[in-house]
Amino acid sequence: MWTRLRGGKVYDPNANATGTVRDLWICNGVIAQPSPGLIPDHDIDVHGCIVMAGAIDMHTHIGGGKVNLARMLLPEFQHARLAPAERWEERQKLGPVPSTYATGCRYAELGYTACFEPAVLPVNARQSHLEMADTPFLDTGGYAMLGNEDYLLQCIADKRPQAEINDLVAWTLQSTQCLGIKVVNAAGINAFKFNQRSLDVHEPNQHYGVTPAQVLGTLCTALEDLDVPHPLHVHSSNLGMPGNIESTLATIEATAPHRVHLTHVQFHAYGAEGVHGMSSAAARIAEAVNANPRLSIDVGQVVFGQTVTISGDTMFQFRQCGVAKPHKPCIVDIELEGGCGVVPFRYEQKQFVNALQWTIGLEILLLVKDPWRVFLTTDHPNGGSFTSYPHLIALLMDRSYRERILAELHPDAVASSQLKGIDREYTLEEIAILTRAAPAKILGIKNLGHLGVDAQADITVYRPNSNIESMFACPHLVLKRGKVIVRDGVIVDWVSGGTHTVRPQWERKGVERLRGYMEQHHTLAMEQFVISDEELELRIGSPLTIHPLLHTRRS
Amino acid sequence: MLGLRMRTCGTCPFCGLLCDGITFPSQSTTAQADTLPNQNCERLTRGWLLSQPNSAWHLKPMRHGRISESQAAVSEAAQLIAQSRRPLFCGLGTDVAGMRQIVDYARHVGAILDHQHSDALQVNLKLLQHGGWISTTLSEIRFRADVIVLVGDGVLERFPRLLSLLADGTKPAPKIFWLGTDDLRFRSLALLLPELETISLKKSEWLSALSEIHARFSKRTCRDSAAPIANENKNSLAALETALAGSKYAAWIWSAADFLADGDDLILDSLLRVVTRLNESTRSAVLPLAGSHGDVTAQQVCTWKTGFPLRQVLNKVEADYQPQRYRALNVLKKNDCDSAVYVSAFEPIEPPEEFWNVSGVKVIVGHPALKSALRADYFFPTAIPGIDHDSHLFRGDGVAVVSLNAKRVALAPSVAEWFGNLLNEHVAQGGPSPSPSA
Ligand code: SF4
Ligand SMILES: [Zn+2]
Repeated sequence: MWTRLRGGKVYDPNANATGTVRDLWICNGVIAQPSPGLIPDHDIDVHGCIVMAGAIDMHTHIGGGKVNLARMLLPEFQHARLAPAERWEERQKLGPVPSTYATGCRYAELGYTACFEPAVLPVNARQSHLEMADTPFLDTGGYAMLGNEDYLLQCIADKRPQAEINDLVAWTLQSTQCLGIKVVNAAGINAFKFNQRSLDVHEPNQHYGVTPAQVLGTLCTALEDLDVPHPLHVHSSNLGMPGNIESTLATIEATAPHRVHLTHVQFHAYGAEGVHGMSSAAARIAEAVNANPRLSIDVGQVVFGQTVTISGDTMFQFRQCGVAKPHKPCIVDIELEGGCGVVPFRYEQKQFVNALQWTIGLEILLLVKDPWRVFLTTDHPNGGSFTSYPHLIALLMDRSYRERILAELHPDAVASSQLKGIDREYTLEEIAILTRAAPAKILGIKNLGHLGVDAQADITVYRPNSNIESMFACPHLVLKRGKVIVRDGVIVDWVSGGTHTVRPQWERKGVERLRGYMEQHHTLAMEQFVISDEELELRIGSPLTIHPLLHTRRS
Repeated sequence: MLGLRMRTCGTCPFCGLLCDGITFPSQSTTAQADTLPNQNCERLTRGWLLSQPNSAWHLKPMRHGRISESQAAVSEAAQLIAQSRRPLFCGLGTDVAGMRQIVDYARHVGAILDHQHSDALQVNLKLLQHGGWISTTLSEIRFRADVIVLVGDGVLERFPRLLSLLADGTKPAPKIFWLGTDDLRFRSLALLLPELETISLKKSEWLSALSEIHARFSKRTCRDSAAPIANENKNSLAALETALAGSKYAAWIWSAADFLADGDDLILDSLLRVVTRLNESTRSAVLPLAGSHGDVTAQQVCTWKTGFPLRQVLNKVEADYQPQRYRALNVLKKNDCDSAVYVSAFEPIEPPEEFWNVSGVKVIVGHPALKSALRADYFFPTAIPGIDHDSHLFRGDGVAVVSLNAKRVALAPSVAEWFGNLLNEHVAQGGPSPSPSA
């Protein structure tokens, strides 16, 4: 069965296609090369349209215990609609933590076809995968959280050999069926359980005597030794604190010479200057990223309005309890692994700090030169909902639009921002890198994010429109594995995605000590942490793709 | 090996603790009742006993009390449910797979969803939705807690191996308090556990006790309380206060089924305030324990699939979440439904008497020992999750989805299979569908 997408302007950064008019051929759900003269079974005319791969959100909280806790906590913000929506205004009415069903529908309607859940606690991995499997249309994957387990910190304190940590990391990736490792406030969540209220990069967790820098170095080394494509995904220390730029730069230093991905850096790019004691340090972050090819970042852009912040960083979320709006914060300590904090929050235009956060996110996106190493995220729902992506893309592509909005913000934030002076406007090609090609590359996923032969035929087709926001809000067509699922913004067919993982090797003897530790201290058997391929595919219901490892250093 | 009776190690499905490492007799295909080796758990013993087939079991689908051909019964039931204006799906004693299918089917027919334990679930949910909380999980308590406070009379009966899970082999042993009501039953239970420091107060005294603790940690003097604490408890309360004052991690555990009376929410609310206060200087957290008969499972699956917790109606395109109105018992009492499906797969728990007043079709999907099999319009016998088939269940602290393996060959289909069949029939009959076809 062959389908041809005929005559579109193709933006495929991997192939240096920047509006190149060409046909795309699809066979059995993947992009293929037809033999000359082949007549397609389906011919879809997309003359004049812009054709890109399906978009990828590489950091979005779409499934797992803390998302579901937020849903239970906030029925008042839940939008009741379950069925696909016909009109954009209807689709935009979405609470900060929609159902799995609505999440899948809304992402697909925006032309997103793959999303990655960045905070999978090993004990909760099964729930994350269950929720993601119940999210229609999307290919998914997760980053397993490490860096706060009592066991790991004890290992580092005891100076256990790196090989043993490597086995633990590889075992965790396999057991949780994850694609990468995320560390959240390294050693800090754990420290909070021992009543330590703050922790900087080189400060020891008082109980284990281990610093965040040590944890980061150990985990970076493990991933590099194991040839895992996605670098350590780091939520740095001191999130949200004025002056935390110093911790962020110290984190960058502490991870040298390894590759590292810093997540939602907007929340980690604050100086402590100015009348309000808080200022933008976007330029310093951008400078560091521009100077270090080993770094990549996603932004965590803030969007004004009601949302709920859900983070593993209980140390930080506990401090935020006082500003919870509505006032019902939740903090959970979880299973000697980590924790979660769910704090409802409202970003206000006229509030200095929130306005400053808004400008910092955009400054970072505009000051980092290489679009392959910076990703557009709202850290959904922490900075705001993913439904704001069309709006954010418009802000990046249209200087006058962003300056109009800037003018409405808190005057002190406007005065202190360099945003006014930045004339960069993203091109369509750069948007294709930012939202497609680059995320696939940083995750080591070869068959998504581009339109070359053998790529999965996840394709988004936009009708050109001088209103950029409208264009990205309502794609003309979205194809999932070669099938049209969305037509002019409305869902017309139903295709489900699968799970993406990597599978580095580990040795049984390397995790035997963990078994002993679990038997003594945990309340679940070690076997309970293991999700087999068969379980994932048949009982959880998500087909599995295992991606190859990097082979940079070993065979 | 021949001649030896094999035993399998597995996970127990009979309460929210989902204990691992339980020895089950491995059954031959002749499903003969077999006694379980003693594992210090009455609930497990009872659950296992109820899982043993006998001649009174209804292992075939029934239609108006008579054995029926399976497909015909499913087809008729699906048709009648589709024709009803407002179905109620209640009981919901099932696992993750069962609940996923139930919600999918409910979306097609516009059903109301509620679990048999939802009064207890609602106590915790209201508390959460009102002001949030600082909570914890089982391993955290086992590893970290130096003070454990059990709150309420029933927690150890509902979760029999709780103490061995939390305090066995951990060093140094935590100080454990048990706050119960002032009656004979509690006192006799407490006598069996002399190592616990028990405090028995009238429910009316609990608030004053908690506000006294709160006041102590607020460095404010205690308000004059309406119900002064009886003298005999003064010492125990003082001991608790002292323990809390020196604690590094104090955990408070309750089972919401002990807090269903009017005004009990105030007790839990003031308990949360104590915990918030303690966290200003030390660490403390609560564990609202649940998870039996798939209650946490139903709540979680329903919430992720629809965006709302239980006690809602799925109006095909919209969910309508109204916890008072869509409480199953209220729906039944007010005749707010005209067909009903009751699910109970773990144990033969009969539906409430009001179930039988529903005007339209009444369907039971559940344990083969259910007597209501004979009384229902349609009865579909089910396998026992985690005993007869592999299963996923949420543990009672809500963070772990536990994978349970079958311990024997199933004698009946699972809840998921029955609801899958009902949905297929619904679609085959051209029933309304809420989404583009799959
Ligand atoms: S405590 Fe609960 S889970 Fe554990 S054995 Fe008893 S009934 Fe089963
Ligand atoms: Zn995040």
